[in-house]
Amino acid sequence: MAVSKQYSLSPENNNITVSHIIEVLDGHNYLADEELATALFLLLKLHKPILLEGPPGIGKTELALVLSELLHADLIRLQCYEGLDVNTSVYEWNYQKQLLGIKLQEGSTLSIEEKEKHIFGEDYLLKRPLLQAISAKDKSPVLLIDEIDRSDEEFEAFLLELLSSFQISIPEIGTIKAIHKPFVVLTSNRTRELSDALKRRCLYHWIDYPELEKEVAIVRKKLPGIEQELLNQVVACVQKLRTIKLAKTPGVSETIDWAQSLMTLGYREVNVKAFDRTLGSILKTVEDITLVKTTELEELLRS
Amino acid sequence: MKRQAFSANSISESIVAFGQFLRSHNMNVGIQEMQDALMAVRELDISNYNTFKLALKPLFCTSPEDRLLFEKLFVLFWNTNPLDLNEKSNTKIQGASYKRKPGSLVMMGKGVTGKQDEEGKSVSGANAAERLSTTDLSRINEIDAKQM
Repeated sequence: MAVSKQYSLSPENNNITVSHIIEVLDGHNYLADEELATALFLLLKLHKPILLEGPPGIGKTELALVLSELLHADLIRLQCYEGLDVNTSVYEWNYQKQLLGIKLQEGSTLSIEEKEKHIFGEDYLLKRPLLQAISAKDKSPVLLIDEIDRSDEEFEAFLLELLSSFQISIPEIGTIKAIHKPFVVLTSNRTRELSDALKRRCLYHWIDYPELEKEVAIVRKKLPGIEQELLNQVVACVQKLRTIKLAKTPGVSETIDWAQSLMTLGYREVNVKAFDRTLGSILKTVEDITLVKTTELEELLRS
Repeated sequence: MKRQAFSANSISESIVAFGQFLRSHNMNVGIQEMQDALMAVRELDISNYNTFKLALKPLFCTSPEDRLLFEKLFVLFWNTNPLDLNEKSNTKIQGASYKRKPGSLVMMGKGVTGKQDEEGKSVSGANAAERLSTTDLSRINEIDAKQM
């Protein structure tokens, strides 16, 4: 995507201000308040990782994507999950290539130490996201460590070295230190408490569900063609849904999906039929659908 | 009676004292956070109260609960009136109306004149313009009115 210079940022620029960050984010269709913009300002100036916590679907991951766009930087993403290990996140030796390398060296006059050094060189290393992020040659990339709360505590502990010193130790090679420190964005849905050690290495920002006016503005930004009446109804309904005890509370991304579904089907207002046809965009479990349809629908549509 | 949590001569000392104040309220603020805070305030226009608060918040908080507590403690620490400390003998009182509404900001003073700076020191940083903006003139008493 072509990004105009007006909506880009250079961390080296000493004239960056918080309001400038709000403006460029707005140019990338991301509405940020002063608090978030200040945290991003510190991320750029102090080069300290930022931990974004909050419920799912409220734009935490989106922020990292936008940040990479406005910095014209590569985005390197590591999606966390249970069982994520060093081989998948940092590096792995290319065994096939190493075997081939050994075979090719069979007739050479190199000593065993030299042969060993050769097959454990960078040529035989498969760089995974974390190592890619700290070996960037030209400029700082944006490293997104998504849903860190899904990973194991062991992996979280491993991250400490990277987040504080921007370096990774590989036993066979030594320590690799970043030439261009990446801008690190960690996200968490807070399904479990992260360790204090990890948190203390990061700037912390909590993103909550937006207020009605802000959510209206966000959806309008994403769907500029939406009619005001439909927009108001959709957002009011979602805000109401968030007050009900649901298994999956809808986030902003669900609001946008729902509004888009209604627009695609040609609805100009939310009614029972429209809700029936599109509820899959906003409610994600059978229990929630049953609950809303049997007890809350009338009240919801009245809102 | 409100207690002033610190006695400091510079913004750096005040920030360190604020970090200790947070720590005394069970917030996890260590040396690293304080160093980061001192670096952060160099980058931002801290004469703006809100900017100053928002700069310290992501550095000193590590949970939503911390954020709520921070909001309360920030106001308690930075908005506490030093006159509440019974240190009147050491403090020149610039205006009686000041006593009524605690609102002086210790970190203020950036971009003001030398005279205002000097005046600010005697009341922990608040200058005349700032005090005036926090003074409810409709509630001023007769003696104060005469003095003015």
